[in-house]
Amino acid sequence: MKDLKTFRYRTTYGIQGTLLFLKEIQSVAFEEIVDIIMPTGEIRRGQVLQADKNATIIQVFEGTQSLDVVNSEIIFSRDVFRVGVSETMVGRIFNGLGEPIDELGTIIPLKRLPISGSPMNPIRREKPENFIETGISTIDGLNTLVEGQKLPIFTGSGLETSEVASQIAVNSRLLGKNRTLDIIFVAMGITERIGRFFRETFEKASSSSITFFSNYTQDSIVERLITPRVALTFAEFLAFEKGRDVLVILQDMLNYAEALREISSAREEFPGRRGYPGYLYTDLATIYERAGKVKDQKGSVTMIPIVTMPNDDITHPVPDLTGYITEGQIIMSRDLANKQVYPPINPLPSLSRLMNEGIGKGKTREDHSQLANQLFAAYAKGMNLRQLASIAGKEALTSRDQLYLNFADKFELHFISQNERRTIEETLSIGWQILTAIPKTDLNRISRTFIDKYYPEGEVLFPKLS
Amino acid sequence: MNKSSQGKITRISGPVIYATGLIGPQKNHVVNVGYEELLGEIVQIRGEIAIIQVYEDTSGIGINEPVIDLKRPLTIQLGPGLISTVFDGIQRPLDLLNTDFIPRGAKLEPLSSTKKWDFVPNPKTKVGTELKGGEVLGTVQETTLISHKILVPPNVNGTLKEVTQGGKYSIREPIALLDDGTELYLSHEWPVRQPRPFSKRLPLTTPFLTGQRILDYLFPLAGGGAAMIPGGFGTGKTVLERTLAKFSSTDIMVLTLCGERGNEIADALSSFMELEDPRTKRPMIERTCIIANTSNMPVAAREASIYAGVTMAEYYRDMGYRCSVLADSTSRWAEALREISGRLGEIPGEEGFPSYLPKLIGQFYERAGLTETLSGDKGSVTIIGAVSPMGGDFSEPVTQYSLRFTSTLWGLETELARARHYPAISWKISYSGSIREITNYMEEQYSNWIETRGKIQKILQEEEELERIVRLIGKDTLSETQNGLLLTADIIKEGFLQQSAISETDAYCPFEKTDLMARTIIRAHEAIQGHLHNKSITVEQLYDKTPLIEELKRLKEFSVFEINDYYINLETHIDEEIARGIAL
Repeated sequence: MKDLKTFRYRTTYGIQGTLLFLKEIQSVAFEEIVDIIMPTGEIRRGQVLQADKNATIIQVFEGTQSLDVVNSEIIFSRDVFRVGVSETMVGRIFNGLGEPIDELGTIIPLKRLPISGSPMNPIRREKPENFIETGISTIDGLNTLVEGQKLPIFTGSGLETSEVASQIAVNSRLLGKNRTLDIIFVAMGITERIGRFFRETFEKASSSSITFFSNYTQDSIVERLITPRVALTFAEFLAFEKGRDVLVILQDMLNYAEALREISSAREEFPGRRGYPGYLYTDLATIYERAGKVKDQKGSVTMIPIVTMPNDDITHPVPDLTGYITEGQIIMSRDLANKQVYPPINPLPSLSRLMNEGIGKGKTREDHSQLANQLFAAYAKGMNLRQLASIAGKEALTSRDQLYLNFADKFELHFISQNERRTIEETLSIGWQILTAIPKTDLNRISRTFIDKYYPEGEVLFPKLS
Repeated sequence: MNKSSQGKITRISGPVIYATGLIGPQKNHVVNVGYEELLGEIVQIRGEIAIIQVYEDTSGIGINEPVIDLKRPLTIQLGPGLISTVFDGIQRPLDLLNTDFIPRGAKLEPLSSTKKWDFVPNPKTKVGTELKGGEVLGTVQETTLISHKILVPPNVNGTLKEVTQGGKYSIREPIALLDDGTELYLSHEWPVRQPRPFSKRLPLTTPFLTGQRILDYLFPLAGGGAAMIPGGFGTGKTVLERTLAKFSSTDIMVLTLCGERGNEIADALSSFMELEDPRTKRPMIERTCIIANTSNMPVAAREASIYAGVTMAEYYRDMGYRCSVLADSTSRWAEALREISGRLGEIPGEEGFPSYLPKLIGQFYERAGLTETLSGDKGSVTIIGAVSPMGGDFSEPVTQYSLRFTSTLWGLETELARARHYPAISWKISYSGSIREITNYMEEQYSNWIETRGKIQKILQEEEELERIVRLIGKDTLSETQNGLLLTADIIKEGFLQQSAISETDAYCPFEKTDLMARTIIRAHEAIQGHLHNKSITVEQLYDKTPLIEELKRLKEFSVFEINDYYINLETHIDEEIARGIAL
């Protein structure tokens, strides 16, 4: 900033939603932070959305209700929004603006960083290739998570998503090194009940440290747009300045996007699909793209955004645009949940784009990729036949086809379904055992060498299904 | 640089700023914005106000800060050093940035001004020669693969007054002088939005081979043509593009990553460094230019990156090379246009996109072509544009506009991707607009391509109809020959169309092998159909008692020579295996 003087104005000429309109401004910068001093002494904060001498627009974090237009004074800070960061913040609880709310005292920040961050230089990015073992077979075996990846969970209402997400957070391990994952949980517009569930789960597990940033349902929607950026600025600090490995869970991106939409419509911007602003993709990217690893540096930021799909519709703009930015997606299925399969992750539409970087010889096991391909293909075939059988009846299927139906049942019962944490070895071994349900000659996605080496001999563990 | 005029900022709203006080501002001229001198471009003029899109983040920029009109359009610098450098959308070399995060306002020369290149003059251009734009002054060995021709800028003509005898030159040192005092260098600037001129367009005749069986055999694209790849997320668009960038029959590959993932660029770079060009055995990076403007980088620069990419390709085309542009994703480019247009308050067309979007998409794909260059050489630009339709819905505007201006469609299908059928290119919706153009060439090189291709397509189509019947009344109603057709369709899908991008042996399939595999499968199909017709075997027995199906599905694992041996004895082999199987 070129000018450190403060500027005070009482020139508000309009209020619309959470927006203030000011005129006769001598100096204002885009995205500058302002304080709004009310005659009562109450101070609210806001941010400049449009800088203009006669049409400056300010978005007020706490909202504009009972704001005294005539008598409130606007003070321009001459700076953008910053958050104080330090390692002592690990394990603490903050509000959506990064202020501690856990009564453990104030934080003495090491530095104050602008929350928008800077884009990572793409050519300084390290290719993510370290396997993270989450303990869940459908993820580790078929849609592997790797360090520095952004892998969202697409879910529907009532699908026990928080259980799955908290399980991932508690159980995830970095193999082959003595490093721990720092967990940052970012609540955006979720209920306090879910927030509490996460906190309690973590306290019980007490294996990792978790830092909380909370913007709950009743909190300000403007703050909701700030919260993930505050948390990610802290995550980047831990990862790229302190060399720590951080896993950031963002719940729920749908609430975030709705807040963005609300502000966009208050600004009377032309709406895109379902009323979301045309820049939703760009805006989401500025959050998701902050995951990654940097060359020649230790730490990493891995991200699991949780996205609720309204009406289970994956083509809804928020999951859709998320899917275009993130490196895959884990999809929760209502069909599986109804069948009492837990975790109800459907591996067929799920995908981890970075999977092949994180698996194989020296990382998981040499046969991992081919085994996963074969399981996918066989389950997909089983599902198609199941659909066929539901129309034409099971009798319409050949005995060969029946084997695939049987495979699909076993796969759901023994591979997808799990109550325990599984190591990757256990996951792969279960995969091989289930493959014995189809003819050995059909294993055309697996090389002969691996079939000879890993095909289970003798009786398999599972009881035959009727 | 021309004389400049200075104004000041009156409004900032995201990437769009308003400025007043510029003297004679012109649309598409570039400006420096604010104390940090961020690059911007004038996109509209309304009375006193110049409206500017800024190619960098504007947060913290204040009103009243200066705006300097540079009085020239947005250009890129063309010269040796483009290859293997990674640029952002406004041609800043990201490798030279040397910082982990991109600071705002970084000023970097696109091409090294100190690096010396060994310039060898063209013996034909002597002092006194009348030079026209596009003529070759000499060459510089840019990489082992690429001899970089130094061209007279297309808009320059004159009599050569002085020219160097050759030697080591940087792009800042003149190598020639014209009568009118114009100095010529190893590099020149060119406005990105203006197509580079050529002498004429030529008809397309040869295929742009990709090493991907489904594309090369079923839906080929002619070199100099334009294709589009629409696909919802998770359909393997990125992997397919990467494969195309690696294996396509092209001299220069310009990869324009527009609004995409940062990790993909890291991945692309490291794989291009490691990978060898299958034809020249040199690292792939030696023929690749990369423009990277990731989704979290400033949105306006996304818009510029598409043009920068195609301009670079045209530049190498003018040297007589076959060039390709892979633009991923044109949807992000369109979204950038929509965002800017919205901030300008323009009346929107379909889904909020500006009404001039179809025109711009058309103009972009029109820059593809096989051309006779100004110097009489032959060069081409092939454009492949990826489209990311919202919700995987191909009826959205960007997909629909692009379809009209590209001749070939490689459509990716979610269902196939879910079944891990990769590349997930749908044989139902894809088409090639290049068949006629390349038929002569293909039939000369490979026998029966048209006929075999037709047979494969017919089998796939009949399969679809049979599957419909099966869905309604079950498999029992099918005859054995019909079951045999389903079997062949299965072999075609798994054994021929599926191709693993991560397999060491199969990621690239030379056309010779593709052709042989196709002919083997069809010949086997015809022989097997004969047996099924004579009732000498059933489909179930083929599966259970003969190795034939597995052999055919695994053809891709074998070399051309091995497949050829198999092909020669195919009928005998099938007869023998069937006889043996029945005897079991």
